Amino acid sequence: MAAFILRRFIYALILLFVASILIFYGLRVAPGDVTAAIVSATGTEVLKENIREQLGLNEPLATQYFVFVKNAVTGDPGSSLVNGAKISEVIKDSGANTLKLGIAALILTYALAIPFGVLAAWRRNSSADQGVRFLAVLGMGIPNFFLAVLLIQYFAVDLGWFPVAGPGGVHHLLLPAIVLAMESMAINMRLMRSSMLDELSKDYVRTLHAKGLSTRRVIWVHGLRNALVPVIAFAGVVLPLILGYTLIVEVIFRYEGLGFQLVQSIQKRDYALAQTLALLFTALVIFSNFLADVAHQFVDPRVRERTRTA
Amino acid sequence: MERRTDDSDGIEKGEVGDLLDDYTARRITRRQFFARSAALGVSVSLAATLLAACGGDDEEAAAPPAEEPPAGEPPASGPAETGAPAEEPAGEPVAGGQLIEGYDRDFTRMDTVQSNWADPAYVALYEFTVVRDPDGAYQPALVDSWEISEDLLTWTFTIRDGLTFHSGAALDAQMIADNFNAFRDPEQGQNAIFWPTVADVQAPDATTVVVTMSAPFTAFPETLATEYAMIQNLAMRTELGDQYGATGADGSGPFTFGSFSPGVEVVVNRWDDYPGSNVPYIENTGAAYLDSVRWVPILEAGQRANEIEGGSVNVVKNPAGADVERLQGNGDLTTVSFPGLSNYFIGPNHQKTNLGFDDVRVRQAISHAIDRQSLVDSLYFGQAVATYGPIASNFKWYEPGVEEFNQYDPELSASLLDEAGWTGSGSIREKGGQQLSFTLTSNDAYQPTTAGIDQAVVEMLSAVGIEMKLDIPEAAEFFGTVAGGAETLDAWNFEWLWSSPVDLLIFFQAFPTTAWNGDLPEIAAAVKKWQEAPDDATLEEAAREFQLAWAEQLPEIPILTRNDVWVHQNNVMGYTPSQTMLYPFYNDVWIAS
Amino acid sequence: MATEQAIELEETVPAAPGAEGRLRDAFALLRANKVALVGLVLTIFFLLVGIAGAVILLTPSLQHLYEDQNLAQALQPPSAENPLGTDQYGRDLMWRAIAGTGVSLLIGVGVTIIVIAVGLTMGALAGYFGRRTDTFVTGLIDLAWGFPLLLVAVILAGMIGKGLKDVLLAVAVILWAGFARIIRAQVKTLREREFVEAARMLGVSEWRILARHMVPNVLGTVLVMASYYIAITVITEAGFSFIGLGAQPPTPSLGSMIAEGRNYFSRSIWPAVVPGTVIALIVLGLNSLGDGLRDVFDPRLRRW
Repeated sequence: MAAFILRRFIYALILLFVASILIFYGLRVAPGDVTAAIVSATGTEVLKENIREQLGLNEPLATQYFVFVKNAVTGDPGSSLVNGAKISEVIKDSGANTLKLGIAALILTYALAIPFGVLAAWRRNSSADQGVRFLAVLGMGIPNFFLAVLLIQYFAVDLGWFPVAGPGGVHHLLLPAIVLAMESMAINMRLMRSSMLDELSKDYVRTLHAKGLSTRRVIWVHGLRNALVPVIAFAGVVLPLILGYTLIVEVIFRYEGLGFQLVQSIQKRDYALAQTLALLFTALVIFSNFLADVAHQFVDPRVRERTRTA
Repeated sequence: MERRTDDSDGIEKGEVGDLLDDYTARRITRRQFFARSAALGVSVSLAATLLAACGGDDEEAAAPPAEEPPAGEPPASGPAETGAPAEEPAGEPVAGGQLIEGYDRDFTRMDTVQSNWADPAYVALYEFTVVRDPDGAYQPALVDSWEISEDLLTWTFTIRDGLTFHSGAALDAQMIADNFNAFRDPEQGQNAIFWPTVADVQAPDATTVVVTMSAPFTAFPETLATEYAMIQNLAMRTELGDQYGATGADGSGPFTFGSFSPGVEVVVNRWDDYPGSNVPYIENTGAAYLDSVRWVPILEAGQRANEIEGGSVNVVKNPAGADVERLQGNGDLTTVSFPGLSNYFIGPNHQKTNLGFDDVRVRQAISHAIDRQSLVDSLYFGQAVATYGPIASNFKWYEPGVEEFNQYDPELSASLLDEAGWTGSGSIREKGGQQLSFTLTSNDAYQPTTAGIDQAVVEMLSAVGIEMKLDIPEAAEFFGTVAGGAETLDAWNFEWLWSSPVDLLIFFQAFPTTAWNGDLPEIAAAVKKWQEAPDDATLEEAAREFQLAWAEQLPEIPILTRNDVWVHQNNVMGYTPSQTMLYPFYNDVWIAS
Repeated sequence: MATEQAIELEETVPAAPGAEGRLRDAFALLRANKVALVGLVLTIFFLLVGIAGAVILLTPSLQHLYEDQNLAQALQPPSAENPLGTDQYGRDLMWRAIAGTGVSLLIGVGVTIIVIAVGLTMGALAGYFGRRTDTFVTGLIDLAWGFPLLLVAVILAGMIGKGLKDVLLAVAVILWAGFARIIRAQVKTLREREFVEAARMLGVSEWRILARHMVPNVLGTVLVMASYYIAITVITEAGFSFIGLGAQPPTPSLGSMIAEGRNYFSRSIWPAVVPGTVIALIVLGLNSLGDGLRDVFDPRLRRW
């Protein structure tokens, strides 16, 4: 087992290394120049040259790549090329916002998916069940940016409940979190339901009933404990999913998190900031996949069997 | 109060006396008194003395200016203001509180030498040497006064003694001279092109700056009165390098650098040792009232109205056009709307003789095909003004004669094209086998605020048989694409925004190349007149001639000027945007409870 | 992407050999499933709309239908003249929606074909030949898996320019990996079955086994996933167009229509609601159909 984990970890590092090269060169190949974001039409070519020189952009690409890797590894990614802000500060500030958003979305996902999923399984084929299943289908079908537009208009503008802008209090968080959570909430609702149905068809449930436990206890205490297992295993998939969607949700809501900063920095060709953030994001996805793999190993005995004989 | 009768300054005592009477009778404000007395030739110090002599000033000095529209000869499209009743002083300013302002862009590094956009924070952190008042007249700011030599080649500026930056470093004549030299160095200063004839800057003593020109440069104060000529502590700038303006900044304005977090906020804090502003129309003669100012970016135009209505910001600039009407109807808010000093134009490449862009009739035909007013009404909900010349009607020297040209007239357009040889019964006109079809390199990604005009123009042109296609480079590629395509591209569009329009338009004569913009002798002559003008009267003449020539000859085709819309809560006092400054001063701002 | 992984989680035994008989049973089952039927109807409806849209897009003389502006009639609610209202330029929303659906169809089908083709090939090779081929392909899969889609799209947009080709490439580059994974798992298990052993012993070449026995047995999965991928691509293209990376003006796109519409939402809801509802219906239709197909081809998952 330990060998497996170590192997996967090294594998993840290799992936990250390859990703860093792709990111770095992908950004540089793109036409356009960071000086366009710094100097307007009135600046002279000489000025732009000086700026490029000052920002270290005239060094050979390989050198710049090594600087990039070195900075990333030592934890000092330098400053934004466009506005001089320290990248570590940007990561801290924007990262905190993204974290808040992600956590809010996760809370929303499970706080809604678990009870609704259990309810649907318990009252199978009732109107409650149909309602939950319809909600799930809807959640997976409505494009989240469309939902965003509707929510913004009706809750923020018409009802005046929340101001919809960047970070700040809970208000600013709620709408993007709902939009972000939508699809994973729908999927987890269905998973919870089917897992619960599985459990309820097992023998021990009948035994517990015969012993005299109330249906409520049987479902919510005993059944749930077991039914949660695949849901938890699936969390390894949910995490990167939410992470990936965070990017687009932040851009839609202009929510000042890492994802928004990332897209902006790429469009401005702020190489230092863009490559650092892109690497960070990719690292997060790669390592959450790694954790998911490891978790899957623990959870699914069949897979474990296979690896032991492999 | 005894009126002084000595006429040692050679001033019409009657007129100044009238002004003083107006002031004491509260028919004009202190700001207007200074403006009008300056127009009469009264120096600032004398005007202040006169006021002091009148006595009873301390109360007025403390009272903030009432909510009033910018005074002076109102341009044809004057500012529209709704909301709070004007002309009523709302009591004594109270110190304290933080002003939260919604910013319509993300922040740029606060360095006046190299930055390409002046955030409102500049006006809080730094000071101008010379300033434009709401009527466009030049007023002293950091400098007390200036004199121009007889041969027009030497400018002598006098500053106060003992000025310092926030850090305590001396703000003396040498520092100002160093700043000027940085601004005008094309290898350092981003806007060096606006200092063309400045040959040398010296500081013979601690309070005198001498600027030597290689040719007369009457419009020089225009350059000084922009945010890109605000004075900074260059020593700190050198020390912090490319992090200056991000991790620290040193100016002499009423606020000090607090924090700079792009995408999140920028905060500045009151400088308690601020000696007070020299600007005559700023009422507050001491430190600012506000404890701090905090800007937050609100990049989504539709959200700006929500934020100010919801109360999470006190001030916001440029809410979405669709929301302005609603905001104007909101009794808790004051909404001011006036045309910005900007213009949106389409610039055909005059070298494209195959498309007939060197033929003035073709350019005029394109212009006449555009229904500017309907663009204003539908795309901008009325928050814009159609432009028929290079500069919008709020310019102090606007030439109304430009409105004779470029009016919407598709029939005239068609006949001009026929005359020029572009005919055809098909959907696209032809001449000698060449279709009148071109590609516009569009700034929609670079300047999203004007996105949308392009597509409407495509339709309008197709109605007269011209096909325009759009190519929208990414923001980071836009200028590079245009500059690099000076020989190959057909046309570009752009919205310029600059507080001294003629200077900027002269720049656009040369960008991307002069050949691109056509060698039009009448315009060149007007430009020459502007650059060599010995006095303001000639400057004005040159400006008017420039506008007329431009409107007729169309080096570029003007479309419209967007309005600047400023919204603030009614309890924010002393916040007075003007049409001559990008952002208003914060010295007078205070928050009533 | 999560949909595929959810399926993968449950995936153990794929469809048994003898696909033809199952097909008959399949349609019977499908007809019984009401939701799937609705999905089928919706899908067919929007397929037809999409084809009409594609025709209009590609026929110059018909383009005026969605391009004609009338600034005086901007932001109007539905009327006899404009059954779904007008946008900020006075263009007819119904024709724009039809044209936009055409774009979605072209991109959706295009990407899905690429994803299926590449994913099927790579997955089958990896699953069947194993060892080094497998390691190599799995490495590629994991690499594609690691990049967030938007990141790839934005970087690609920088490299090759914005527009539909950027969306196409970005989505295809990421999506094939998930499909390859599923196919790989299926093929791997199939490989161990007796009939393959038998074929090998009889001397049938590896490639023939792959083509004649493996691929037909994963066709069910292909059909199911195809419907999902079209849906995913439609949403993704719309999403990218929404943030300005996809279709460039004047090409209409349901996503960019929503983006423009939201600026005028307080004046008229139609420019945003029409394209949004169209996307929602297309995706709902495809997902329901896909669910139905999965019920048919993979009974283990029927309880979903």
